[in-house]
Amino acid sequence: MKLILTWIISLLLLSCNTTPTVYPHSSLSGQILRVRQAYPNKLTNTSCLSYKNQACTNFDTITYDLKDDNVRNKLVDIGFICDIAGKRYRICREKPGYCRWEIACKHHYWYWMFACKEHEETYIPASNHQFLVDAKTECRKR
Amino acid sequence: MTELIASALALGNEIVKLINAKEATKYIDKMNNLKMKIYEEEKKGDFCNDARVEYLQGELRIILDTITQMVVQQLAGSK
Repeated sequence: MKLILTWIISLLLLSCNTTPTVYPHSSLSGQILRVRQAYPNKLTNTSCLSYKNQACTNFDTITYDLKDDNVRNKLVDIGFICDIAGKRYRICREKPGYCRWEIACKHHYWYWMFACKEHEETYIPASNHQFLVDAKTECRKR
Repeated sequence: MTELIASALALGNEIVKLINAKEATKYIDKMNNLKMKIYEEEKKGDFCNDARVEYLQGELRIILDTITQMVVQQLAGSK
């Protein structure tokens, strides 16, 4: 009898371990936001609500529309920084997309080397969707 | 996984090896296991479960914090 009970308990424990856990969405500041193929102009965060044979069958996706001024302001205020193809970009406050300041030199004469440094803003619009997907764009709070 | 976290983990691995051989294997195994889970999840691309990645990265941070505490204790003990 004891042996059978031990087997039943072991089987129950094993079945508990193999059931995938459902992870709820974190608060916004703890979320990882990604650009996904199906959601142009948006940043997304997913969580799996149900599984079948270890594969997710029901995704819950939160979207953040970068065309919305309020959404952009909120993300900037929280301090989201994005990794686009290995480069660090911030979310632009004034337009839908990603911005980055870079020091550029337009003059190539060696004696102007220290005088020609200028700040240039690089801008990747959110509408450049395929590039952002290919570059594995990922944003998180700094 | 961000490169920064990967670098922190590599450093954590090395520190753990230096401070305590017995505890080291336990933490290295845990960290590598978590790294593999994150890698497998992120490999799913658009179907990646972000909430799971966030959770696993949180676990990694806890282990790294534990290692930091171990190092501090070890250093305090050696003085």
